[in-house]
Amino acid sequence: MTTPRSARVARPLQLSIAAAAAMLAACGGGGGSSPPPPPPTASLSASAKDVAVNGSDTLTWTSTNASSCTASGGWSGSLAPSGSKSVTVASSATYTITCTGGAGSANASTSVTAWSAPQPKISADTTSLLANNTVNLTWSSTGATACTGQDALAGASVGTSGGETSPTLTATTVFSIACTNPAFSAVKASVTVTVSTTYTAVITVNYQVPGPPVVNASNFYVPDWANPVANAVPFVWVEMQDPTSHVVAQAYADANGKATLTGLNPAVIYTPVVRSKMSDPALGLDFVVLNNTAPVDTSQPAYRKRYAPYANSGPAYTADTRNGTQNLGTLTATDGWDSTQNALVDAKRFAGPYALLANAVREAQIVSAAIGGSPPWRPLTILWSVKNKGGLSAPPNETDQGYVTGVGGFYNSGHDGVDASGTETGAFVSEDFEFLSGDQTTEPMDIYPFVLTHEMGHFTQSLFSTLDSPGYEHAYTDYEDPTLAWIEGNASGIAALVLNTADQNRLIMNSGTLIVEIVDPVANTVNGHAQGWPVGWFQEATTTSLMWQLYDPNGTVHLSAPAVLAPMYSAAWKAAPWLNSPWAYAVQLAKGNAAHAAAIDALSDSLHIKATGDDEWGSTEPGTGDRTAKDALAPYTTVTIGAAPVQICSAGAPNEYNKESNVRYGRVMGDGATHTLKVQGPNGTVPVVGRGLFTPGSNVYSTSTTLPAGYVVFSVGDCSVANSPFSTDTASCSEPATPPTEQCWTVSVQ
Amino acid sequence: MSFRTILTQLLAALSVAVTASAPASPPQPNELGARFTVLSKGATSTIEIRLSPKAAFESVRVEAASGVGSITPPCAFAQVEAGQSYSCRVDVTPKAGESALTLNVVGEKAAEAGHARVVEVRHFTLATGQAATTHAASTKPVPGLALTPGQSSTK
Repeated sequence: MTTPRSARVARPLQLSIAAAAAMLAACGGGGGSSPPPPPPTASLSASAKDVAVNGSDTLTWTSTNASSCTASGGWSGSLAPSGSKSVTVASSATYTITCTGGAGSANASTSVTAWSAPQPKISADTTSLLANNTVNLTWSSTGATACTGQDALAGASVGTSGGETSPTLTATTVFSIACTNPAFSAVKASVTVTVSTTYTAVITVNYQVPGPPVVNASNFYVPDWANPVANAVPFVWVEMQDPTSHVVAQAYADANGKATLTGLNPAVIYTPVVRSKMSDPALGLDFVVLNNTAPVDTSQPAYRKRYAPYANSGPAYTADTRNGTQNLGTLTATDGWDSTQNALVDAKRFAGPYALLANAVREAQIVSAAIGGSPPWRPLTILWSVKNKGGLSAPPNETDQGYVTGVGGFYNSGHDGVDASGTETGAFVSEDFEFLSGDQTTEPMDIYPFVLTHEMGHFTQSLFSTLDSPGYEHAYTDYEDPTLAWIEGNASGIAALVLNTADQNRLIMNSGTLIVEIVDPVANTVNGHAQGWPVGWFQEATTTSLMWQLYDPNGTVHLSAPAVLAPMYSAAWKAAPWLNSPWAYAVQLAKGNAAHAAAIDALSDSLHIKATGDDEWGSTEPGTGDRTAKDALAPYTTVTIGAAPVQICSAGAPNEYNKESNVRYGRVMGDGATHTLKVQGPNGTVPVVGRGLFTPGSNVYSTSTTLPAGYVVFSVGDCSVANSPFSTDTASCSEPATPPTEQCWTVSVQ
Repeated sequence: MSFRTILTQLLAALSVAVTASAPASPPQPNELGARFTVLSKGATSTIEIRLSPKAAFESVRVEAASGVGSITPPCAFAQVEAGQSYSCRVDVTPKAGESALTLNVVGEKAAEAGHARVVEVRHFTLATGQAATTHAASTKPVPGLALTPGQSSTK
């Protein structure tokens, strides 16, 4: 490629002369006969000696004393004794002709070089520079015969490759080289070095959790503390504080937990701080984990104003004085496991709030994708601390102190306001929140995400579906109210889809050791041990099992997660007269998936949730659970306006709140007019409607209201059984005697 | 209480009587059938624990969880059988500065070959009546986040 053009031009002529000389020598000096024919000559030239790859060129040839010519080398074929031809030059080549006459043949050749566009490259060892520093520049090229410096390199002798150190830079500077070759004009490459007096810090935030449970030497499942797993905390808040604790830069991280903080002074030593709050503008997520045992303003009844997010700092950072963008690395909130003490150290449990945030975001992303569009998320507040625990037998909750009723983990869309002492006794506050335990002697719910994802499931029910449930404590061994079985089983089902496993890891303390119980609601096992749990419409684990088996990648139905979740988020579901129940879900799912309807029905029926027949009211359900048919079936008793009263029987004793049949459901076909609902029990009983409406001490409850067109559903039960799970509350029933195990009510609508 | 249809359709006029929805919580095992009764409450509280187990347990014991200073006498049962009733009473005192104490009833089931042991726990939390240790109301960050790689390699 570097051969001088003049040398290549001369070559055909030299060959032509040589051929002629050879022919003369061969003829010798003999005579006497007719003179021999003169030897042939040939010449060949190209219109351009340098062309772009795949460019065209014209070859022209002439000959004397030749009758034909033949092409070879970069071309081929028979040629006339003279002429020209256009060729496409795919690569550099030598073109040859051989011309033949009566006295022999002669050759001529010409070479054409095919050139690709020159490809210059230039780079700097940093493109983000603090002022009054230099950069090291390096450049190179391919396919170039010469390069020149441009922009800040103008006038520099650069060759086709090389490098140099820039002068001290005080402003953003562009360095360029432009390269050429015989077939192409200059091609330019540039690098821009951004120069500033402040720097940008890039920080990634992770949280650490133990690996999946392993069996220890004592044959208990324990968290795999020795093999922790680190995950990003998406969209988390990061800030930089100066030595006076003043926040000088702040930003939410991206989806990968990477935060970019600008405008930092390289002369100042900053401390990176992470706070347990997040914001995702794309989905509109506003989640925060608050330390409820360290209130910042006890005059506030609402959690978001009363409590603050966790704030955790990394090591102070002394800036590099050269780079304008400085990657500080990854800040990891560790799980707090101390291998030397073989214990979880509360003071070092930094990961908890961030693990909760990360899993909440993950669930929100999956549910948003299942719903489609941009579903509107309300802000969510998560109360968590290492002191949080359940076990209180009755309200009020003491959130400032960290102890509450129940198991210590729940979601609610509101709460009683918190008074100055930290007791939930004030006016109702609408505020979506989850309370989650962190006390390791009860259940640290931050370690594995099942409880968080289950409660997030309730949050999504409240946001995008229905959340009609009697709530409070419930167990795998219970025969449950069908609305509870749906709501709770569905929440666990959502968790299963999010976690991609039906297994529920729960941590408990056993003689000072944190161990794990692995509940499998599909196999009905704990740690692989078979359990005798009820299976049917009356048990939440069955609903969870149904949802998982519908989704199970190894199952027979194998629906997508959005398909499994679709019925509960549909407009039909939210507007439907039937209550949310396992029957309604299975039937709606089958109706929406005609191709899988038979398989859905078969699976649901096998789990004792009657779906065949497509009736959301469960009218063909044959299973009675642990009650008599009179107490359990039909799930919804029809009461006709103006007709004779009907009998609806409930069952249960005090402390059987939210169990099967402790309320029964009736339905009335409303007509838009005002009617009176009357429920009457035997003397000594107090009927309760809707689990909260009753006349203390009276065996009759009636109310007059407008019944809109279409079915209207109501529940009825005994006040001391169905009004509240707390004995102190049921005293308000003024029920003179303990109700019988079975109680029948006369119900009419006039 | 939150019955959508009750609140929005049948008894709309009376819905003001209902202020909050029921809390939705995760499922728990409950084969121990544990019930707790506070017999006396004071500096030392006496609590009765009754079990009505729905399954057999190799052993059941009452353990001190957070906030417990002392618990006497020990309460434990061996070879607990389903359908039987068991009870014991314990005197408990809180740790200083703890506003609540928690007892755990821990039941261990017999191990089946090839499987890890199964343990069920029920919690009971009692407000002690003593003022809790004041928590620092501060937004000052807590140091301790680990940085990788170390700063020396970030320059």
